[in-house]
Parts: sequence; structure tokens; C-alpha cells
Amino acid sequence: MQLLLKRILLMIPTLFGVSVLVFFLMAISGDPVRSLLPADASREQIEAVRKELHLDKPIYIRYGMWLNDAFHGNLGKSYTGSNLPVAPELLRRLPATLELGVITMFFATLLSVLVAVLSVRKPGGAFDQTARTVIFVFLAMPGFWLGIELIILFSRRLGWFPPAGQGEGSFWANIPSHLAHLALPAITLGVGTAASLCRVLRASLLEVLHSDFVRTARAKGLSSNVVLIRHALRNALIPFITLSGLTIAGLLEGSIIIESVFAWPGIGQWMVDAIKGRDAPVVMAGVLLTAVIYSAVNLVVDVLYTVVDPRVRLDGGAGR
Amino acid sequence: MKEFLLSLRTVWVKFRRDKAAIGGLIIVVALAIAALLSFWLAPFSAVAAQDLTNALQPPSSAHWMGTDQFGRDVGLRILYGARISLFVGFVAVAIGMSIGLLLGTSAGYFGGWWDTVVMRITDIMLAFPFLLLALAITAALGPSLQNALLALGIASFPSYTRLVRGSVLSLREENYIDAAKVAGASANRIMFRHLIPNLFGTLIVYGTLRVSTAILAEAGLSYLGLGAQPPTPTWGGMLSEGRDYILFFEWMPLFPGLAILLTVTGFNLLGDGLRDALDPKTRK
Repeated sequence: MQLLLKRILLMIPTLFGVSVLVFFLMAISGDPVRSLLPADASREQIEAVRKELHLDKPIYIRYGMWLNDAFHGNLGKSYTGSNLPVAPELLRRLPATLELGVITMFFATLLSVLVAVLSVRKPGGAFDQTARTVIFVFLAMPGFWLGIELIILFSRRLGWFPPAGQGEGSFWANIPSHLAHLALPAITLGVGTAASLCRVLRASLLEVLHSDFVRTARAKGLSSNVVLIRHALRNALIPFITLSGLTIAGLLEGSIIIESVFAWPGIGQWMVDAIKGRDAPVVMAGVLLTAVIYSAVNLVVDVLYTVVDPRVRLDGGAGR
Repeated sequence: MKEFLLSLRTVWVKFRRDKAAIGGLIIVVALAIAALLSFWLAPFSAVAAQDLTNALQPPSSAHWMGTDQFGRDVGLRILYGARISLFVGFVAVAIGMSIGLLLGTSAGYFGGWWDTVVMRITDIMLAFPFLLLALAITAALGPSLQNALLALGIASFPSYTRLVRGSVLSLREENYIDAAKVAGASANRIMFRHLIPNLFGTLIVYGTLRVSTAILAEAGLSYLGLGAQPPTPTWGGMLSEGRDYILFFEWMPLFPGLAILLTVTGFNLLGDGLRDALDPKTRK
């Protein structure tokens, strides 16, 4: 418990560093005033806006002010377009990104376990060979291209799924419409994820299947399916959990572009627009949120280790 | 030198038996030749020239991969794009690897406060996704090919640093390093003559696989309009234009996507093959 607390506390300097790094990057990206005001704005107008945004102050003071505001839940206002406050907009968009992430993860995990288990029933067999080739192709495929081709096939040609958007209302209020809109982006993000998950799970299943306790279980006369599911799969899950952690991180990364491809109204698409428009407050908020999720996922993975495998301890030391 | 050539020979003997790896090598060499040929076959004037009367044509004998919205030949533009993708892949890896090698070796060898500083910076940069970091750096520097290269190089150095430092930490304990120290070798000499040459195998494998990552990331940046600017053809940029035209014309995104897929597959196969060939534990 103490160690868990220590790990959580260690996240603070890292997140602090992330915020300094991004603040500095956005500061050197140029003056946002030019894009905020019309081209014929007077000197006084420019000065007034610079003052309002505190751009007339040195960078370390601006960072201090941002940090102070951030601690009070105020992430500033967007520089572009509607000038909306960032924090509420972030919260408004978060559910869409989570919705896509959770469904994708569910789909990818299911697919990868299924394919891996079917593959190791007969290693080197026809199914295994085909699966390995397909996995290799998906690992090399840019997600946004797959997305475009899926839109062409399933939306344009067959008309099965809508090509873009999220569906009306909240998820629970209108499940069929949401699932239809989720299908293509979730498949796009999910197959790449499933490919890397499947590769690791297959390797670790093969390793476990050669161990003594599996031989014992077989010798007891248990059916090969029972051995595979009850004994082997459970023990093969450890490397799988590590990778799932990395995968959530990969999903965050993938969703940045995939949300743009499918006009999915989440944080990824918002971030891309903000980065292109040099909208510093939005970029800061988005990057920090990503870093928090990323670090939290890593922590949860480390904790899950100790649950799945009691031999692993958070401090890496021997048992007391 | 003789020993080095001998070990190279054993690696090649192993590598040669691996069909997939040879396939990867062939793809990569063919792409390199295509990229070189593009200087003659696809000069910038040819890939930028517009011919609106022939816009949005499906593949034909005159235009093997069809034409885009300005009537430009997609095949020629893909050839030109190969030049850019390979260039970005190699240079981004070279930048990232050089920084990572320098920081990782020195941090691992000297330890102490320097190690702490380097690893803290690495941790911070690894605390958010690679592509997001590259995006933020490109946005800060402004969109262009050079800046995309720089961003991809900078965004990737933390992973090299961590890899190199880990290897150096274990190599540092080897007897021959102690021997070199006793013989009075300077820290620089130990790092450059003894530690870094021993990392070559690891770095070649990792670097080859990272070329794939860099090419995919460059395509992503270009797709978002943050890479080389039009009318310079990039595979990612062509996909982005293709996305805008899927309602009228379905051919456009196909070939740039296949080009990326083929290239990344080639480097992945080559990297996996090199790993197996260089690893003394795998025998086929």
C-alpha cells in the first residue's frame, strides 16, 4: 500500500516535467495573437489582446500563472474560433474517446484471445500459418488507410455502416445508432491492436504449453480444451497484461488520427485541430490528460501483476 | 578485422536460410532502387504538373495507377514519395539513434547525477505517446519536411537512450572493461572503442524496426498536413487527399496505402530476420 502511494507520488514530477516541456514547445511555436485578430487590427487592439493573454510577461511567469489556474480547475480558454473554456470542453469530449477506447479494447481482446487459442491448438497448421501472415500485414498497415478503405467498402459500397460521426444522444439512450457508428472506427483501431496482442499471447501460450504442469494436467486425462483454457491461458496472461497496458497507450496514439478520419467527436480530433491551429491551452490540456492516463495505466498494469502472479512484488524484493 | 568478417559470414549464412528475411531484404533494396530511379523518372516538374482534362482517371495503360484530382500521375507521385519516405525513415532513425547513443552510453557508464538527469528527461518524454510528442514538436517548429524529420528524431531518442543505457549497464561489468580501465584507457576510449561497438548488433536490429515506425509516423504527420507541404508528393499526403475524394473516386487512396504497407512490411521482415541471425541463441 505504501509502495503504491510512492508510485503515485512519483507521477507528480513526471507530469510537472511534461507540462513544462509542452508549455515551452507551444511558446516557441509563435504568437497566437495574429491568428486571433483580423489582419487589419490596430496596434492598440493587438497590445490589448497580448495583455489579456499575459503574453507581455516572461515565459516563467506565464507558466506559473497557468499552473496556478490549472490547480484551480481552470485550464484557460481556447485561442481559436469560439474562445470556449478548455476544461468543460475537455469533459464534454472525454466520453466519446472513452466510448471508442473501451469498445475497441473489448473487441481487440476478444479477437486476439480467440485467434491465439485457435492458433496454438495446432502450431504450424493451416490456421496458424494464415493467422501469422494476416497479423504481420495488419502490423504494417497504417490505421488511417485501413479506415479509408473500410469506409469505401462498408459505407460507400455496401451501405452497412455510417462513414462518420458518433450517433445521436448518449450511448445508453441510443445504443443501436452508437454501435453502428462505432463499428468502423473500432474495427480500424482494433485489428492493429489485436494483431500485436495476438502475437504476444500466441508466443506465451506456446511457452506455457511446454511446461510441466500442463503435461501433468494432460497426464491426468483432462481434455485438451480444458488444459488450454483453464491451465495454459491463465498462466499465459502475464505478458498479455503488460502488453494490454501498452496497448491502451497505443490506442490513445491511434485515436489521435483515427478520430480525424471518422470525424469522431473526441479528444483526438480536437487535439489535432488544436496542434494545427497552435491553440496552446487546448494542446496543454490534451497532452496532460494523455500523460495522466498513460502513467495511470502503467501503474495499474504493475498492480495487476501482483494480483495475477503473487510471485511478483511492487518493490521487486523477496517476500517478508 | 578478420574475426569481424568471419562473424559477418556466420550471420549471413544464418540470414540466407530465412526466406522471410530475404523477402524483406529484396523489398527494401527494390524500394531503394525505386527511390534512386525517381530522380530520373519522376522529377519534381513532372509530379507537380497539372493536367485537369485528365483528372481522376482510374488505372490505364497511360497512367498505371490512375490520376489524382489535378490529373497528376499517381504512379510517378508514389515513386517520388518513396524517396521522401525512405529519406525520412533513415534520417529520423539516425538522429534519434545518435542522440540516444550519446546520452545512453554516458548515462550508463558514468552513473551518478548525470544518469539521474538523463533518465528523468527520458521518463518525461516517454510519459506521452510518440506520435503526440512528434505532433507537438512539429507544431512548435512549423509544418515542413525538415521539421517533421527533426520532430521524429527528437521524439524517438528516449527509447534509444533507455535501450543503450540498459545494455551499457550490463556491459560495464564485463572483465574486458575492467582490463581496459586497468590498462589506463580514458573514459572516452572505453565508451567509443569498447562499449559502443558491442552495441552495434542490438542497434542494427532495433534501428531497422524503428525505420518502419518512422515511416508510419511520417505518413501520419503528412496525413494531418504537418509533413512536407503540397505540391511535394508524400504517401501520407496522398492518402489525405484520397480521403477527401472517396465520395467521387475510390481509386485514389489505394496505391499510396499499398506503398506504405509494402515498405513497412519490408523493414519489419528485414528487422526480424536480422534479429534472428544476430542472436546466437536462435538456430534454424
